[in-house]
Amino acid sequence: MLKITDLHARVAGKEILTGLDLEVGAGEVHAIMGPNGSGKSTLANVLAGRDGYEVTAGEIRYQGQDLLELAPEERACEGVFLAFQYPVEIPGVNNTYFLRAALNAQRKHRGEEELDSVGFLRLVREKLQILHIGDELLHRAVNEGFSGGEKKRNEIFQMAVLEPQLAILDETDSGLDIDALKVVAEGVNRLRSPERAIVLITHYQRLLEYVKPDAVHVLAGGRIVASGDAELALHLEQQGYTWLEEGGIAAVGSAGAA
Amino acid sequence: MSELAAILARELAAPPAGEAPHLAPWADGLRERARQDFSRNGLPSTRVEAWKYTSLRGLERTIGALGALPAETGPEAPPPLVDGPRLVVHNGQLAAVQGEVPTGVTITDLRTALANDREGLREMLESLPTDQPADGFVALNSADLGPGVLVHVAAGTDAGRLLLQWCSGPSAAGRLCNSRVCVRLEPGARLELIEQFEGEGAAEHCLNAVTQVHLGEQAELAHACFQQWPRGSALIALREIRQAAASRYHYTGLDAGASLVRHDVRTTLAGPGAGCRLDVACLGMARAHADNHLQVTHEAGDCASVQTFRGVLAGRARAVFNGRVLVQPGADGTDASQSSAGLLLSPHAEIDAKPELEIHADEVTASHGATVGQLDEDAIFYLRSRGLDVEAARQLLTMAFCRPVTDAMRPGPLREALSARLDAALQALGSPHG
Repeated sequence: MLKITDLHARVAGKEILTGLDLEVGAGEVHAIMGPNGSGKSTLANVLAGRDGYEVTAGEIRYQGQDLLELAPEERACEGVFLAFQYPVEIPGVNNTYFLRAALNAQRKHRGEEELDSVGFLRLVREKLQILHIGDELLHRAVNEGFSGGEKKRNEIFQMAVLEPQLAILDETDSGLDIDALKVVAEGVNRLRSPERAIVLITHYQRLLEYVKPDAVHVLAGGRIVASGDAELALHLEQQGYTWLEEGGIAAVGSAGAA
Repeated sequence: MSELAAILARELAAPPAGEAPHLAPWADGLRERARQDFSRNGLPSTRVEAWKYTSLRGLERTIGALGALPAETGPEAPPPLVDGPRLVVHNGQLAAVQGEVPTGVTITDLRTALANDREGLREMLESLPTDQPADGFVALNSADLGPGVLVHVAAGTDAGRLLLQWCSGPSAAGRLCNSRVCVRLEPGARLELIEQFEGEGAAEHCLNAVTQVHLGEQAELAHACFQQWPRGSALIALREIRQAAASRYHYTGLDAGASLVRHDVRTTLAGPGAGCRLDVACLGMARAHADNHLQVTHEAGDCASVQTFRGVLAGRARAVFNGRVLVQPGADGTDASQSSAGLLLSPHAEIDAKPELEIHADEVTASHGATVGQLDEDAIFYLRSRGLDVEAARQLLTMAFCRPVTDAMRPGPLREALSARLDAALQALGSPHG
């Protein structure tokens, strides 16, 4: 599904990713953890194709294609979804209108018929119900005046409607109360399927109590320094990230490999 | 005085033979005074403060005569913006009243109304000054008083909707047509008045329209204008509104065409508890120039006013927004707000925004905010990351930018029609071929 090889990326002239390797197969959920400044968000933004994130070396293959060759909207239409760490407020654009335009753009790209407003509303209500999200967010402008939790719920709601092949959640769990966290977890678990891949970028282990990852990676200094199973996340939770820098990494690395 | 003004002044002094209007003596007197004012001041130059950003040089190239023209039968009026009774005005003259005008509403050709003094017409017409250099177009209009229409709504009548379609025929090419619309709503009357400036007609012509509105106590006028004339045409429109106690006036203006547009909307809140809302969206492309002067005068206390301006400019277009709030002594308890925002889609487009708040009363709440900028790149990326292409993302954001203007309207067919026109016009503006 996704294969990143020796990825180097710069932001504002500063090298943030320094040779990142990552492979995520279909049907898998991977968690990427790491301290602040390790390059987590840079990875998310490079995957989504944001301007200002310059890839200087390496490659990203997504379903056999060169992902870096695709414009952000082409990536979305090919099934890549990024849940933003800081969802953007767009006054004047109705949430429902926007989401329908997005879904229909993707359907058109795939050669599918566009959904009319009745069909779309049916789909939307079904998703809201599954995720236990109230329908008031349908009538509001995109993220405008939303609380932090509402914004994150809206990201998950969009993800549920768009049904991506590869979902990347950039610290979607940060700053959430337990109810909102459960919505995020529910969204991820509902999306899980043998054809889909999910990358959870997170600072904390908390989300992983509700979403069991197939693999956990530790990102530090712009590359993956350790990989393992869900146990690795627990380990990090107990020991903290400072322990990484103090050389604990070698032990974990071998544990992960074992 | 400019060459154009000199030509117009000569024509006013010597009206074409055989067209001696039979007007009441007071109306003749008003015309003559205005003619003298125009002969003295001519058209406003950019040295006049209120016209500082708007040069009439383009107009001088295209206009060479007064349009003292009969109403033409063709071309057909454009398809109506909304259903309902409508007035068709050709070359400034009332040409037809179509559909059923509700009971309590009287439509009179202005020339007929000027033969006597109906519904306080004289008082209304004489209240409009013509003697200052900034009043050049008003003086010109008053000196040529005759073409136009008087709309009267009896007390307590809910008159529903009335559409006013402004059309120009081929004979208007190269000419300036004057027209006067007088609207009087008696106490408790209600009307939705829609002005539509659309259709092919004569590209190179100018309409100089003056609209005067008197709202009685608790009367309500929703007044919407949609203008999408072809490039080369010009519209100079002054709207003067006087509001009695507890009356409501809501102006929604959408400009998406013509090469030169000047709107003056001046409301006077003369009775306590009156309220007004002036909302304008202005779209410009190529070398279009649109100058919007909104002015609210709070004469009485406890009145509320809102002004909203949204300008979206592409190409080398230029828009001017001058929003003035004047709170007179004694107008305590005034609540006035103003917001203006400009969106520049091209590095060569320009917006000049000038808020003016002048407050001479106590316990006044007044606020204003002005911004000019480009589309938010983060928002564009967000939309793209969901599958919308750059073009669609930009369009969606541009439409959202103007939304406050149509959102403030009462829900219904008119709002839907105007929103659709606005979106279509924005789409044309944002497209690379626009």
